[in-house]
Amino acid sequence: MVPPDLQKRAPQTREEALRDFRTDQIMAAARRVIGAVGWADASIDKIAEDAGVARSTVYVYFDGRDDLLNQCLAQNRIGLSERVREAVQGADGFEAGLQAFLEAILVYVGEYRAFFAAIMQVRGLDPFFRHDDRPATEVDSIRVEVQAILADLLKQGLHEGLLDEAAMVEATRVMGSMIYGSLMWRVNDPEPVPAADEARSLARTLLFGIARTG
Amino acid sequence: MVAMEATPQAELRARRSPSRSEGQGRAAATRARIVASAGRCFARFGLARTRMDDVAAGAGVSRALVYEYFASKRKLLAVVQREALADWFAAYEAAVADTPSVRAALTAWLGFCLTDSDRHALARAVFVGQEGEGAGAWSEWRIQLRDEWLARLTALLERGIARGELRAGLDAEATALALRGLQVGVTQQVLGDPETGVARERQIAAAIDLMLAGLLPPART
Repeated sequence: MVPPDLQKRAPQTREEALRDFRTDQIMAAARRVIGAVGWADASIDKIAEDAGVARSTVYVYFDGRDDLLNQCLAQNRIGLSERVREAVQGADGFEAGLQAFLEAILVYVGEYRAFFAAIMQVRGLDPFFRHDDRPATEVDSIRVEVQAILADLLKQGLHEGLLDEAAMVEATRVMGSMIYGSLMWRVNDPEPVPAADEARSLARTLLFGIARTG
Repeated sequence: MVAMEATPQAELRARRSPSRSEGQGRAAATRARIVASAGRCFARFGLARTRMDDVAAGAGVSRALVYEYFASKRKLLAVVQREALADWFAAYEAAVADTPSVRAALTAWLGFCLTDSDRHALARAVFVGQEGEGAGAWSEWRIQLRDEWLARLTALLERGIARGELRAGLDAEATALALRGLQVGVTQQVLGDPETGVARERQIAAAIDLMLAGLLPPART
């Protein structure tokens, strides 16, 4: 005899699986469309067409354009943070950790290059863009999440006795800027340098600076 | 790199003998007004939503006159981008020309990116452009910007290494990539998040300190 809780759960799980599949399909289409035509022109109609579903189906799963974008970004936030945490955990020591952290971000964002380029353009991560019609707040949670991982990494550097605690607040801010700046270039560059090379340059500059003496 | 395809005959004549008559000077001034207005429109609306009517209105001229100077919106964009790039790097050259050190040059570079607000709209126009819209021409322009930016940073770093200001073993080309990211990022941070409460000068100084000294204490370097 099937336990009552499984009886109840089984159909729900199927429904959830279908829902996950559908939402993934629609979100993948949304990223493609936004990447191709930009946020302003990415209509629900275009996204539905790309996903091969009816317009009304999109509204079954999402409250509208903003909600769809926010859920896309939320999914990216989870994907990015998993990837970055994994990379940092696999690295040996602070310097390797910093390099792995940077490389994982560059690679992940590179996988959604056109989408992130379109979002950065609208949202103002790009230094020269301050649009009033900001589409989403989830972009901010991506930043917060990445900063939290960076803060853990810096704590490790402090723990290893490599870093000076007094300099950490400014250093974190400046490192955040450097990562944004590099990403902004990379997503728009038709032929970016390999992520590993750029991560190495960034990590070395952050750690050792460029001056002849410290 | 000055292309001629978007330059009307009237202005070509004006360039050959700029002081010959008031009319020719006016032609150049009109052209400059149109380009400036287009820069503001592209920055505000993007390429697709900018109409030649808006450009004309912003320049205080008729739509027909805009077409006399620029055959199409795309050609106008190309001119805006090209002139913005030239303006950008001319400002850079001026900012770092007499600087005694790499530190001063980097400070000057960040300074001019952040303090000249007229340049923000232009820079924004330069960066506006969606992949679907003339990606070919756009990429060519972007590649030029990237290459010129990196070449200038690399040259600056090499100068610092040659003078003994920077570490002898520094990989100038690779480091230029990192510095570019930092420059753009700090610019974004200062322009984009004015509410952080940290003074602009302090942010620039912190970024430059970090660039020069790195995070690790001197013993490790």
